[in-house]
Amino acid sequence: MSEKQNYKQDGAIRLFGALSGVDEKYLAACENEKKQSGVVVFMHKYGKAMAAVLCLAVLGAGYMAMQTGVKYNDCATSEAPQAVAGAGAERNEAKDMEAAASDAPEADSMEESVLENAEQLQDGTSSEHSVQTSATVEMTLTEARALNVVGQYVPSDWPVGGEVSQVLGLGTANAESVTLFWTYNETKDGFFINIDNLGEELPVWVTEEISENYIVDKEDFTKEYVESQMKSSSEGSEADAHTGRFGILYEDASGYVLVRFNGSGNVDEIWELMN
Amino acid sequence: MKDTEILDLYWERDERAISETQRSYGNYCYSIAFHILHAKEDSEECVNDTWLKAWKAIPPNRPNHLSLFLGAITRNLSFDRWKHKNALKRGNGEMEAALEELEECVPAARSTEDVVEELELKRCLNHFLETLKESDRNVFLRRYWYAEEYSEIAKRYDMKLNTVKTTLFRIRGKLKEYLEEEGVVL
Repeated sequence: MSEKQNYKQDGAIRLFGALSGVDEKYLAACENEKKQSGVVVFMHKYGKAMAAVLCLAVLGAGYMAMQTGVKYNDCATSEAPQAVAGAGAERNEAKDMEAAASDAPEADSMEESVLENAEQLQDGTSSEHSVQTSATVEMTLTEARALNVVGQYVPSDWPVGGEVSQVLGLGTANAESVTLFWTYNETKDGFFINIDNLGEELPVWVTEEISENYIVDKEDFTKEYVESQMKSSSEGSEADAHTGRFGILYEDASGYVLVRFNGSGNVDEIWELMN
Repeated sequence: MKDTEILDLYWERDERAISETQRSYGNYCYSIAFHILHAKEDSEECVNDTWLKAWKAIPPNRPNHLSLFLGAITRNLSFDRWKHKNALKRGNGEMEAALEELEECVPAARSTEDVVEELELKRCLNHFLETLKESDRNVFLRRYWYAEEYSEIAKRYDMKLNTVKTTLFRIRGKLKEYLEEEGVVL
């Protein structure tokens, strides 16, 4: 064994030994977490899904109300469907994911993912996705890149064998967002990338997603992380196709920007794209 | 029997303290020993030594958390035995894997700088743990205090296996960075 290797191993042994001096409170917390009651475990596992279902119901009710009664100042009548694309885009995202989930082998976990994502969208609506205050417009990739703040996070190295099928921008006075849908030519599968300018304060759902490892800081974003978030897709599809979701949190002078991926793709290509 | 009652037995020098401790914490301590040693006989011996050490230590001690007090003794005894038996010999088991991973946290050697005393290292580790989210801290301790396997941790916390791996990978990177910032030389 080399001297360097010995040094490393001695260091590791010292570290392991030193960990015996860990404060009891941490070990106690570690032990206690295991002893959560059944109700707590149930709420921890399914509480979000339950909340998401409620939120979707509320969102759906609001959407229906808009379709029937609310006029849009920015749009002529013929453009009304597009005017509600802000809500529609969110609903479509959820629908797309629901469809993907029902086809995927791990439908349960995907369904959970859908519900969680729907919840994120719902939580986010309080500012950047507000049905009442936002105006969503379809735009080109070039226009998306020109958007203030979020534009600089629009990827440039897209995978081959497909195309950016739709770009939806969502802007309000305080925040903006853009969602880019990418579709493979052959399979019609794909993914979407959502870029949100979160401003200076992180919404609660983002901190929750961070704690659950669905979102990481830019400095923690690695290919290994992408691999860990992307599950192998159903049998019969391409061997290297994976499905999953994750987000990268950037912090710059204007505040936080969150770039989220959701859908299917080749891990190497996704890593290149998101990196 | 409650912990306080067991502790009373120790303080009264009643030998039933050991049998009651064995009954309440035998499996727990054996699990800690076995994760480190991966040998039934050695693990059992460490657990028995734990009772003996506890008998000698209580009184004067009266631990707030008897389980943690016993667990720490078992861990130390098991780790000492592991070091003695292995003496840097490579082998299978979670200990080797856990140590290999911890090697990533060892900062680069820096000439002849002073070696940090063990107490200082423990202080640093506690401070580092303080900076972690509770969920991350628990995963870290499960791996490097209890030497549990990834799959056990994933099951325990209802996490994906890869999430456990990624979480530990991230924490090890942060620990290395932290130790380097603190000027810790191992």
